[in-house]
Amino acid sequence: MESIYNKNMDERLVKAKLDNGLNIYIFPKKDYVKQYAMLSVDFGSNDIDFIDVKNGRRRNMPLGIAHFLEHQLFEDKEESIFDKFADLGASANAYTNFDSTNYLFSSSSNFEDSLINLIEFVEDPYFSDENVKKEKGIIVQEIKMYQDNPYWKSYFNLLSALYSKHPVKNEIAGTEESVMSITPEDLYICYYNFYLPSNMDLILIGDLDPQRIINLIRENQAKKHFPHFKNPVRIIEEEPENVAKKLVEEKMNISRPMVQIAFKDPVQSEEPAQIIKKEYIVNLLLDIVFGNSSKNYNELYDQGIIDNSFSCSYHKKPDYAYVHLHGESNKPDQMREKVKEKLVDIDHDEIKENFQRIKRKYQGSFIRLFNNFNNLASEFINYRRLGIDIFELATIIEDIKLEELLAYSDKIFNKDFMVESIILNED
Amino acid sequence: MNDLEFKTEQNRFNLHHLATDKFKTNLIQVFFMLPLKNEKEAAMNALIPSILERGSKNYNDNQLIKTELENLYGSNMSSNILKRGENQILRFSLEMVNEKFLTHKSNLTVDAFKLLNDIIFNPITESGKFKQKFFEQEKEILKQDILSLINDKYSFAVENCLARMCKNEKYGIYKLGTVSALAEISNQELYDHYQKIIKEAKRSLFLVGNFKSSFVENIFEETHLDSGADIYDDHTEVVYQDKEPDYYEQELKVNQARLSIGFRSGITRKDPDYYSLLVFNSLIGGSTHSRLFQEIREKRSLAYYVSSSIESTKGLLLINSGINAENHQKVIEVVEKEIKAVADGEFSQDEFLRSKKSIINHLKQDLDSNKSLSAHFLLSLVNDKEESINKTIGGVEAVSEDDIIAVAQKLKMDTIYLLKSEE
Repeated sequence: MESIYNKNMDERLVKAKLDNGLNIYIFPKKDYVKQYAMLSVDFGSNDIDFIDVKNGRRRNMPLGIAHFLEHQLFEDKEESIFDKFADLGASANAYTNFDSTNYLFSSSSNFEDSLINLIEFVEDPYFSDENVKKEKGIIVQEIKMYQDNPYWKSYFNLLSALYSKHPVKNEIAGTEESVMSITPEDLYICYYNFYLPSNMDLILIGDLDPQRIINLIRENQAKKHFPHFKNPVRIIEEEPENVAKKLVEEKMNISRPMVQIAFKDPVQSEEPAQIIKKEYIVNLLLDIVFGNSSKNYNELYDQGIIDNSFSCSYHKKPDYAYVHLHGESNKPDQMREKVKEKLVDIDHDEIKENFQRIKRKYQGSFIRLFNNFNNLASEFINYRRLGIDIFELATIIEDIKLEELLAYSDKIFNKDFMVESIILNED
Repeated sequence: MNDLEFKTEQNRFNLHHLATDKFKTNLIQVFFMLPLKNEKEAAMNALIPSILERGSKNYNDNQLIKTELENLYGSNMSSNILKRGENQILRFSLEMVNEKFLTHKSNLTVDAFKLLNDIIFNPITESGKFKQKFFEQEKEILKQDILSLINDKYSFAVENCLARMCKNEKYGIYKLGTVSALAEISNQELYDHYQKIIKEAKRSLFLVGNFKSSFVENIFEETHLDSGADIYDDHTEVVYQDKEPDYYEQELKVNQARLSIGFRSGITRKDPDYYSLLVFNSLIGGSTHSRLFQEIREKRSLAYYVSSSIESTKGLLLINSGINAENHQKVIEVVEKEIKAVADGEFSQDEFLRSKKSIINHLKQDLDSNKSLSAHFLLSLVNDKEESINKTIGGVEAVSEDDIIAVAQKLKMDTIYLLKSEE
């Protein structure tokens, strides 16, 4: 057990790793009533292609299998999992994203029993033809719900324009067709490949006694046998540097056009701290150039080309990265033109003038992170998977230099790597 | 641990202060309560904050305001239009990090409050009106906001159901007004209306966090806030009637049909059976252990989401679901059957206890969020029943099985609305 105290933030992080490889992270929060637990599995919608640890065979799974598995684990032979938590006064939930599946509950009493419940249901799969068939109907409704969401639709159109090979171009829940093809066997294969304690992290936040909790989990895990400790090998086909498509257009029943623009940022192999730092640097840069205090934002707002639906951000993972700008506009062509024009010709003086202030804003948002358990857990795991503890972010932000912003500003907005996704009104 | 209760300060303004050092941030909120009268006034009330946020005399454009907020370590300032009962509530919110977590010394709270104050009370004027450019631009943006309801099919169905259900009541007015009513507004009448709000509307000021006593004592020296009545609702019409449910269908190109069913509970926060309504809602559709979630989603695989929610100032309960259109009759039948089952007392003690625990768990968690503490207190203030979260929990604990049966028996289905794909 290791305990790290951050004096500036007055926050503590306790870490432990069990013999079976399960990582436990605890943020003890005095005076808080809420208790929060998240079991995060390093298995997301991107992990569809891998080498089966049992027989060395390559597996190509239907799209959306990680999300399907998340739904399916809530199935139990006898009682509803949701009821089990509700009986303890806790409420359970789960979500799947590109790179992880996360099971969580929040409670205000009976934390230990709820925690054991959480571990037990994730570690006890039960997939039958009948319950898999039933879940398909539910997930198809979920997919249809997303198909009616114009932001979601145009976001995935954008990703499919950016990437021709990388699985991030696929919708997290998959397609109606891929979901209908999923079998209990597929689910079991994914389960024994990825749902190993050594491929999971447990994050706990609340007014908790770390030593006691760790002992409790250790006892629970000692009773179980896990077949092997090797983590699966994922296959990500090499992504070409070029974009897949320059433009995707679609029509939907919406009030006004929606424009999304992205710049693909080719990746090289980088150190985790470097990946995170670059993500901050480019986000600072974007805030200076197109954030709501920027000259550009206010000029285009004034001209009625963009409004407060506009936003921009940069996303960076070890295997993909892109700049993302989007907003609604009744002048979509002008918006596209202007955004391109401004990004290709960035004023270095503007970056110099605004750098310190924007950095301050990021320091403030780092402090805020510790207010909300849900955000803290999801951000924590994000950085933890890259090998960084969340307290280190403060130093990473502090260390950012003006020169680094200037250097990226000249090369990241390359028109050759730009794609656009437009949703127009149905006539 | 302190009891996390708002204390109403004896002062010339209605200051409600919750002092705690639990959070990393301090929260200041200013509320104005504006009774819903007609669509034009609703549109005016919605337009005013967005014009104010564009610039004030001392911070005269958006860029300067946003720059100042960033300087204050990314403080957040926002305004929202809420609808509670037959009122719009105009909320200005300001949240800044607590100075004690900063390595550089700073007077964050005072500076940020100065900004908020200037935005609300010191707008830029041109010949006795709002700045014409701001007026025109924000009018166009509000028009787009009103129209954009269609982009979110969930809310689109909810609002369309409520508008039809309450077509003869003030509650039927959309919280942002309508496009045609908005078009009628002139800059002069809008500015006059703003003056009237500042002078006459009921208002409150909430503080949640670890404020220096000098700040709290001097807050009124720093502000233009005048005294006036504290916010409470004295006019919302609670309609409770026996009638055959109305059925409406609307067609649009959609992948998923949306079903909204509106009920009258006749129960508001002021009523003693409010706590029973909370537990009933949890039992029938408020959560994943609820009857409708189990019956419609888990057993019949008819929906991804199905849930119920309550409006506790107007006395409404709403059930929402996303389904295949051809199943709508089946879903309505299950809803009717489940409510009847509860009314007949056909629920287990486990279900009853679960529903109670779930409500209590959520209420307790609200104690850990400055915004939830504020939202809870706001509703109790609006309903003229000041109550801490702990007191609400006490009320829930006292609910009996018979109380739930009584609520289920009281519920009247009023309106069914189905949004479905064009044939």
